[in-house]
Amino acid sequence: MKELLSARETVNRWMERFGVRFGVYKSGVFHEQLFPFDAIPRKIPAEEWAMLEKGLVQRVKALNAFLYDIYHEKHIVEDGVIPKEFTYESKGYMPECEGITPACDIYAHIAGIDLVQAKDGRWLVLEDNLRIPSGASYPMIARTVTRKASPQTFRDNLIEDNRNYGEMLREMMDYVNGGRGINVILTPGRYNSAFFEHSYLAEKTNATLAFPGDLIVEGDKVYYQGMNSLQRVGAIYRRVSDEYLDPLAFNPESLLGVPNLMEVYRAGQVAVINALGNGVADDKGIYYFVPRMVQYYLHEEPILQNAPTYLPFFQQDYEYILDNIDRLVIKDVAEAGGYGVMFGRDMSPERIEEVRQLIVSDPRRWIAQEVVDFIDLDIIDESGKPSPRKCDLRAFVITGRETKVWKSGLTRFSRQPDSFVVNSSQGGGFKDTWVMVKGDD
Amino acid sequence: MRYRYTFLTLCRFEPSVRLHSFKLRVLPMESAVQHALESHVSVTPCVQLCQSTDAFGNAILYGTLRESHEQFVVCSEGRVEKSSEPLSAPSPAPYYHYATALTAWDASLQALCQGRSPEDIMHVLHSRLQYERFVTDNSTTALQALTLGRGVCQDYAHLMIAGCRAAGYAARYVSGLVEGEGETHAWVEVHEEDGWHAYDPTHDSRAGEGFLKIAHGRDASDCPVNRGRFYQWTSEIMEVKCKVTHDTDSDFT
Repeated sequence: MKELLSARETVNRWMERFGVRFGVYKSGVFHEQLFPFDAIPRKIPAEEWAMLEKGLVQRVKALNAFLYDIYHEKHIVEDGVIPKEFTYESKGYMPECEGITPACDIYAHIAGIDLVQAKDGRWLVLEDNLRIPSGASYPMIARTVTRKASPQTFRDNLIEDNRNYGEMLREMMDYVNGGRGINVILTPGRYNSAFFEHSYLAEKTNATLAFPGDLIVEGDKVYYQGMNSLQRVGAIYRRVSDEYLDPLAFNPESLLGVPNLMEVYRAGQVAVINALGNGVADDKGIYYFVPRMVQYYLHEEPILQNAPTYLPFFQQDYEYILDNIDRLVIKDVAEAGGYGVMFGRDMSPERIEEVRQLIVSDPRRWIAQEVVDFIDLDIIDESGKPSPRKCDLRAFVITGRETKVWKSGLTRFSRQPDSFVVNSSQGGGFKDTWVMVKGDD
Repeated sequence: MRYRYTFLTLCRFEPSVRLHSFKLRVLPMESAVQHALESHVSVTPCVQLCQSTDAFGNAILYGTLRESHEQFVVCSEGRVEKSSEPLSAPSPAPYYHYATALTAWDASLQALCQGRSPEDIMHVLHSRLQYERFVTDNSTTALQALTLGRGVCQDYAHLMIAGCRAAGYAARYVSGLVEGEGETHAWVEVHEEDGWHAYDPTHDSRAGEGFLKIAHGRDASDCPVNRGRFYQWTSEIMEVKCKVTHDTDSDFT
């Protein structure tokens, strides 16, 4: 470990050379910044991981069952388990996807589940990301680089290898592809915040990196246009969001999409990873109901709990929230990436009154959560000394033939010691996540 | 009743376009109350057409023209048998209850429509609009049209849909052809107990005989006749011609 920490300069230099970057738009201008890496890993003991793994697999299975149900028979709404307002009025619900059955019935092939560990050791889910969860490439590359910088560290510690993420993705892509054609990763292009990741994953999965315009629909099939030939495409891991994916079905202004892709998808002639319409299941409002989905679809008790959450939509919660705004976190269900998050304790009395009015005027738009006192992990700060930071963990869950959890994850830390917002769009950095092999806890 | 229809769409591009992907809604909708006895679609320049059905039940034809062309002509024609009975449906799809960007309502529209029957809502809202062309466009919302007090069939339909949904009814937008009219028309279907009832808010009447349905959806954006994408900055002129007549010969055969 010491050796690894002393190699941190080397590691960061290598990361820079690899081009580990993260793009952000600030006031409409594109900036590319390095995503700072901290060499002290997060270690998760084998026993603890086994529990997390079970809980994550269970949660993602329930979310997939929910997505299938919502775009087909809608039993969960008919049976009154989830109020219809939280499904049909959700921004993420897409009637255009009604009745479409994606290849192998899978919707959330790649799920990024954000968790935090409370001070009492319990892991709590903060958010499910089922559309285009990003970030897996950072720990992949960090591991590769740290192994080079300090081989001894990886001989002394028994750590689960995380360099198989590309293989896991590829296996899943091949499974849903079903031999129809090649696998591609569709990127919006060079100016996307995760372009580095798109090209890196294409290399690791041996898929073709496709830019807008490289894919074309002919007949009822999709093709990749190479220099002189057309290749049939069987699976598209798209890093373009739903509303830009097909300009003839959705946003007509989109230059990133593939015209008529929606028709090919509907005909079952191509697998799209992740499926369209997943936003209905990772909405901050629907999050509240995920433990109920586990009970409803799997007839099991949820292994992982949510952070304590209140919905102003329900009368009892409504009153509790209005009385306790000053100590709760209020989140806008329509926002992501750490935007639209308000901490009551940081607000002036006037601001609290404003927020109260926002909630009163549109209860469906907000959720409130208790501030979870989650654990700090040390980072080496700019002065070279250990300093505590709030950290979360994005676990990656892949569903192909089976649902599997990648034995690693993205541990992100806040930029400031006193900040609770852990999101790469808001500054901050990341750590490698070591899942320990049994016996080396 | 039986009808003959001709539905012609003509696009002119200046300069010409290539790699033109298109998606068409030009076939009569099949349902328990409307059935095509004969239908034929031809596209010029000649190209392979694929058929599909969208989530709302509309027949879709799509394809891609690779070669450069200055004109794109779609001719859909055939014969349809239609009854003016309401289309029975035990329960409407849930999304016909909710506002869309084009059919959002406010508290005052809701207050105006609450407690009224769909027919009544149509009467009230019809009196709020004057028929006038070129003052609204595809992106005009129901509330904007109401504020403006003017609009075309699409605006009448959106406003009635907003009013009906605000009053608790499931309502949907319908586009199609009407006997004696040379252009496409838009009207509304509202779900009442036994099924979908058709209203023509532009003319403040029921939409029964002579209304051939092509497509329906939450609002006009679910029902475009022709959407295309091509690689060329171009100016596009689109022309639509329709004709619906009684198919008198076949009524007696």
